Amino acid sequence: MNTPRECHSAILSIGVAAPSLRLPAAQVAAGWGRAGGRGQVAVCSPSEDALTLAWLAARRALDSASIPPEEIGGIWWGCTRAPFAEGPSLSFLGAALRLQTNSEAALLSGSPHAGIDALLAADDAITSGRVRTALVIASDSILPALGSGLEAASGAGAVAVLLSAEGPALLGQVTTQWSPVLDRYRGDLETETREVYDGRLFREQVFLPLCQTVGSALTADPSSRWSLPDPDGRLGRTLGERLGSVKVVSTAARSELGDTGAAAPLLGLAAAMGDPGTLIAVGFGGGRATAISIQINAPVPGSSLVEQHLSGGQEVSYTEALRCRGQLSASGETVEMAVPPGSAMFVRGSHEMLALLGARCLACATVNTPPNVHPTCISCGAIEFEIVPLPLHGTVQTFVVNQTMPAPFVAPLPLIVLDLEDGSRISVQGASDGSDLHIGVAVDLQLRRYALERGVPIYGYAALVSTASENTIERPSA
Amino acid sequence: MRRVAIAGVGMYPFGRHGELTATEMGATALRAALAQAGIRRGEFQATFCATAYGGVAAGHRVLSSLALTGGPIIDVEAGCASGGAALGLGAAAIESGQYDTVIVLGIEKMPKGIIRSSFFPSWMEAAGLAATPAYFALRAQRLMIEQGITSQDLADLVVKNRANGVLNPNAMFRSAVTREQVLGSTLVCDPLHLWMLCSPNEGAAAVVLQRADLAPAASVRLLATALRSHLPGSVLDESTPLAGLSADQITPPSTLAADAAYEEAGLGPTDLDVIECQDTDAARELLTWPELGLCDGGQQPQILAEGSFALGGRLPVNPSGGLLSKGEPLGASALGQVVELVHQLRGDAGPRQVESARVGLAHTIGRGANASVTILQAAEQGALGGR
Repeated sequence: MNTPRECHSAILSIGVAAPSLRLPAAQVAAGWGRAGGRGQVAVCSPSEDALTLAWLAARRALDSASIPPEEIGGIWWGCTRAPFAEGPSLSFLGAALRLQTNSEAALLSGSPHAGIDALLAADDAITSGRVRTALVIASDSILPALGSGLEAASGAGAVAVLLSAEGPALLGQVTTQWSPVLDRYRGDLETETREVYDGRLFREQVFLPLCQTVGSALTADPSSRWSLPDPDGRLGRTLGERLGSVKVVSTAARSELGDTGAAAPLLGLAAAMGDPGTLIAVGFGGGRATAISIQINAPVPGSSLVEQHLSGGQEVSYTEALRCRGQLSASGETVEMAVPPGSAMFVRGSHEMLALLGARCLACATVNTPPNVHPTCISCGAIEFEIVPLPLHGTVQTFVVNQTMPAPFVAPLPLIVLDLEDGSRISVQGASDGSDLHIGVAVDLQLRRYALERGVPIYGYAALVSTASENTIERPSA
Repeated sequence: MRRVAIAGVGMYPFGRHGELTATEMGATALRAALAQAGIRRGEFQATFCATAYGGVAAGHRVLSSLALTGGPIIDVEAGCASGGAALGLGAAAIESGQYDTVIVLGIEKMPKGIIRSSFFPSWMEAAGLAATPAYFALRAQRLMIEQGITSQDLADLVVKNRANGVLNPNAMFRSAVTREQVLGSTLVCDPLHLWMLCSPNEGAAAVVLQRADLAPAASVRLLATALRSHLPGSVLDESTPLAGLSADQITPPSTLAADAAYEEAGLGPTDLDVIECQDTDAARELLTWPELGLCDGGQQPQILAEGSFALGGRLPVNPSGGLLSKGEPLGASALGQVVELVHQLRGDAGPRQVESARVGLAHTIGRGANASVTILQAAEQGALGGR
């Protein structure tokens, strides 16, 4: 008998992020000489990955709650494949989010169930009183095995929620069921996720039994709205029918982005958090299934922006998607950049690069950036500073679109000199193809992956032309 | 006014010279300069050698190959202004009374392709923020919007300089080009096309400086040399890193150097007859004109259309063809300009001779940022009005 236990924390706000590219399933089919193919999946551009998506979703959740990052007591990040299989993925993300460096932090991984794991771990931290406000992020960018059915099913996306003791949405019952079975997986030293061995066996013996068990254990009524896992584009619907033809609200996000792995359970509910009532998320992965109910008492801040932040995206061909995923690359050497990413330069400069920090002169208030190359104020020569975060928006002073770039960079690559509101002038990459740029236009900065240098991701900020809605959430009117 | 004269000049043509070393090129240029000045072993006291990529004791290698060592030999590096810096040091040493005769040498053999250097912080290179032509283009974009320059104007500047280069046997590119050809060349980074960018290359230039009263009467006089760097906070003045202040009123180093040189020479832009200036890219020269006070910002299109700065115009700029025709061997480029001006002021520049040129100005701007301005005057020139 599966008896649910109770969660005790509440959701303060939500943010979501989708990558910038969309791959139609028909393109994948055509790539393998087959007809047909329905739907689409989201694909990360070369400058996006599970970390940059996590950052964007988290920023949006923070902005919607109007909570400054220094008030966050801990970060719980669920991700099937963080950028470092072993390494500083979590501290990179925490630095880029400008969290306190002594905040609690945990990276949950190992399967798409990691998103639920992150939510439950953060709930424990809130419930126990260790942390007042917790940031929960679930993001994924699955790299599907070539030729497998996952290619037309696995997508990418991110969701973030802020948890606290009280809020407009309350976490309720939760229950888990697991079984030591081999579902889709990726072995050590493997880069691509393998498809399940036998689709029918997986459906009838693994997926449906586990998910049904947890789903039916929760107290639900006909008006409850569900987010159901849907790894192949069909199982979600079947599960909904087996649970009693429940009302499934995760279909829209699934259709837009594909299976978003660890992000799927919460991402599927994100848009529905604007309407009061009961929501239930079912997460699945690694032979584990968990269901959790959420009671929405008032619209969750950020939920009204979900649809807009998930839609759009530029359609790409199969070959372009393969290039972006790193599964298709030219042979030969790439240009080796100046120094290894583990060198002193990166060690000293990485926090200020990830968090986009400046040094404000205590004598004349000039902001010097980056701090580690300015031990002396460029305006007055003084040597005492306070470290300050730079604004994440500014105005294009000048820009150029590089039409030829040596690998590992990809042309066209915009390079932008930006005037920030605090009087500093910095240079960043552009995140678009540059066709929308002009001198004087307002831009927002987003964390992006600049390059993979000797296998190591290098992150920095890239500029995108501001949209009205981004401006709204960047500068809350409250 | 400096009491220093240029007694002789020599040059190894700028270009690509296969396995030839910078030392060999430098020796050829130096031998020519010494022969012209009539200076032999033991008749000069010091050598200043400009080079950015020459390595340790680059000047020693040149003088060793000619068996001219024994005196002080000092290598000088100041980016594109290295030659101007070396010239200034040599002239100052003579003026101070330390030496009578000094060799100033510039040698370079640059790697092919986009210039890589230790100049930018490594993270900027790793982040793709430090590619040289992109950096030039950032400035070009700004120039276009601030001073009303068009892509056609950039192309016309190239047309002007390449037309001059046809007449210069020391140039790397010696064919004339059309506006359409320039705009049809590969777009490297908007607005700069391949032919709007100078080629890093190889070459050498040598100058013999002498106390004016000891030099031959026909020697060109060195009126002024000035070297300046960027003021703190400027972002597009070839300084590092690409971050600073958003203030746009920071005086550029070229203007700082020009003002100092004009003051030292006791003259102003209207007194000039011929200019050699930095045209690393087409926009760089157009930006330089107002920075040197040759015109107001915004007048460049009209000047190009009227041919005022072309050969035969009111004030020929880059009669040598400029770096766009010669290419840019960093350490040698500034002295290459001086060599050109000496020919112009002696009246032996051949088919590209600027008629009755009496006063010339050479200008470089590059990494550091470093800007150098040198003003030369033909022999037997009467007193100038000055400012």
